[in-house]
Amino acid sequence: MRAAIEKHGPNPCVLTMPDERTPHSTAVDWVGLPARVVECATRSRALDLLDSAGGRALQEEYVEWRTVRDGVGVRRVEITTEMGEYWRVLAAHEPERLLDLVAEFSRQEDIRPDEVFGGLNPLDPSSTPEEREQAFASAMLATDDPNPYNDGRLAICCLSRSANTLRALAGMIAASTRILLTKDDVTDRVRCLTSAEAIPLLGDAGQVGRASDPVLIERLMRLAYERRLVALDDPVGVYVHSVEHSRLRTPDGGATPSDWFAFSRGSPPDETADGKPRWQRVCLEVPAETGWTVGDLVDSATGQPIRYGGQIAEMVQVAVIFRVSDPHAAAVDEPTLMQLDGVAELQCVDVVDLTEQVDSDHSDAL
Amino acid sequence: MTGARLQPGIYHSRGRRPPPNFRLVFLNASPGTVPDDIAGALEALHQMLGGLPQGEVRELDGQPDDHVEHSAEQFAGLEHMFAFGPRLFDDRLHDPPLTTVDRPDFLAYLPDDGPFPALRWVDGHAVSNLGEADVAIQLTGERPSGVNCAAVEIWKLLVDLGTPLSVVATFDGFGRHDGRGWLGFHDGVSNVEVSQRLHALAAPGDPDWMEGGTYMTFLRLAVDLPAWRRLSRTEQELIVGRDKLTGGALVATQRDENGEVIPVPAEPPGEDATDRQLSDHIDPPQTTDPLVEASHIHRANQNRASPSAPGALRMFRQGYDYLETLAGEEPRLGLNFVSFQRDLGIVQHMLHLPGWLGDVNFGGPADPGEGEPDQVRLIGVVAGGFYAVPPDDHPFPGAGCFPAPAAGE
Repeated sequence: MRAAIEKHGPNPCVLTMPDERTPHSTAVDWVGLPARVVECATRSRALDLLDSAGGRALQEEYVEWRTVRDGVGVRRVEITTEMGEYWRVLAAHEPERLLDLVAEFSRQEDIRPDEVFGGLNPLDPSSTPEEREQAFASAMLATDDPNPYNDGRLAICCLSRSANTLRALAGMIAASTRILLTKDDVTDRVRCLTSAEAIPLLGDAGQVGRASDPVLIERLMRLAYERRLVALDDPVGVYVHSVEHSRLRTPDGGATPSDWFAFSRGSPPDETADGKPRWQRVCLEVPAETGWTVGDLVDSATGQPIRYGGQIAEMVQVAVIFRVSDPHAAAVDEPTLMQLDGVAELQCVDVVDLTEQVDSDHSDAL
Repeated sequence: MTGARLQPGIYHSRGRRPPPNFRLVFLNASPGTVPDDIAGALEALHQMLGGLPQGEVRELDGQPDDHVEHSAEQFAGLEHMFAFGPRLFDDRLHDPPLTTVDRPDFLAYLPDDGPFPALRWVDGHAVSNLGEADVAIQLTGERPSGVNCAAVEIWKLLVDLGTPLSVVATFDGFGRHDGRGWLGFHDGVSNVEVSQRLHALAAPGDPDWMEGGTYMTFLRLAVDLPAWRRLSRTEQELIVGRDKLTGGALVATQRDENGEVIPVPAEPPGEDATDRQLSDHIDPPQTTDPLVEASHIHRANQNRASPSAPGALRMFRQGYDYLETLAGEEPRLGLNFVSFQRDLGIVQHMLHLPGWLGDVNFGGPADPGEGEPDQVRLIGVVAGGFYAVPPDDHPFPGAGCFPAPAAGE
């Protein structure tokens, strides 16, 4: 957070850590299907793209997933919101625990250390935490040379896209927790900027069209408008709050039991101060004794069978929790009204590029 | 984003208020209907309905000019809007298919065992949901007789033409001049800012025939008024999130010496209100009081962001109350919840997600603590459906869904 504040300049509303001045918690939530990709490509195309070989690059809502298929259809969908930064710390200080987790997520007996740490043996007492962290990051978080234990081929462990990092989240907070006002063209009243108006003013701190960034930015601007102090809750994270499981129907039209979704890597509601769950991983799998698979389930909201992981990500509600002060606690100068040059336009270049690549791959395959 | 392609009947522009009278007419096509027949019927309906505000009534063609003026007065302000339900796209019901264009993904039937986790059918399940049809026509106007007579003109035309479309259901409603609903509270105050409404409304081109159109949610909601009236004013205010008399949004709660909750409303904007006070009244500041956060107005706009943020789940509401009867043990009345939004997924998320409206029937804490209002099943769904409202078009809205048959077919 400190680095983000340094990058974006002093911000009287942002604290690096919650303290006694920030007794309240408030959550901002969204669902995990990338809204920008859907808007650029259409929903059906986006679902296909996001499950394709390069689709992970577009999973940009602080939610990444892998879709496990067999010859028939979708068997399992695994979704994570765990920050790569946390796994780096785990690699540095608890490499054995990390290897156990990778084995658990890949459903393998054990994992060879080199598969997760490259050339470094993390269990060698002579290795330093810095070396272990660096070796893990190079082996598991590199997007140009993805590792099968985190790119979905064998497992998914943590978020790996640059848009889905604590660094990106902190940058957005530092950049956008400011009072940004304009006079409304239609009503002539003073109001906070919309995200589309604010994003061009925030550098690279957010992207228009996403489910996450715009709603975070507008909420943070509103908190600043109320002159509240804001900090990320401790422990920092993007948490799974719930799943719209009641949308899913079994092949005989019945309701889908909620426990077909397995939540992990976090805390249940009865272990959190605000009674809200803080999970970081959820896996949908249909018990074998039913004779069905995930691909047999139908989303009643669309009438469509589950063919893609994105259909499940769309049902997953994730949230960032902030700790905030009472209003009027931040010493903020009276803002001036902003003259706006325009609004941010939806950017689709990367989506179009991947679409062309996938189309080309399909053509080659034929 | 000009909004020029939205059909009439969606009152989103500055200074336009929905006229006080409302009727929805639902039409189904009979088995074996071909697309050309549907197109012909809809074009005829569009033309006929468009003539009514000019006093052009089919059976009265040739009436004296002053009588034409009377007819025009009768249909003053009448606007009609065409919308297509999931049934229109259902090939299991229509052989041959009525249209070959793609069904929008979220244009789906309401589930029989729902329709939503906390908003249920009044009878427990959809025995015969009359709110889902091939075509819905929304009629709005200045006079009750105008929208009612227009509905009957629809029936007459379909009978006279012998078309395969027939009326299967109709629902009416009325607006109130005091801005309140059956619960006695101000309703619609927190609707989307005028300058943001087109962002909330205009559908993307997915599928492409819907670009510039919008989607309608219709839920005829029965209100359990006796149950509501058994609650204290404090309980009602905590559930709604506003002061009952002034309409001021609650900003906090306090406890008295007995532990009873006391709602703390914002001051309503007076004549000398600042911009900020006016904005806060329309779109209340976010609160960090969990009890206020659990109220209806915060649940319905949990993230307090504009429609340009997809995660804000904003919709433009245009509801009308109804009263069916006061006879019997309890009155039958409620709200025709009508909302327009760019994507029906927004409605699904809002009515499924906990913290929004997925874990409570209307408002208040899902798991109330000491002194907090208990959960009351206040509203239930009598009928309802999702509809695609195609962009305005010639010779009628949605004409592109029914391509003319190729020569020789």
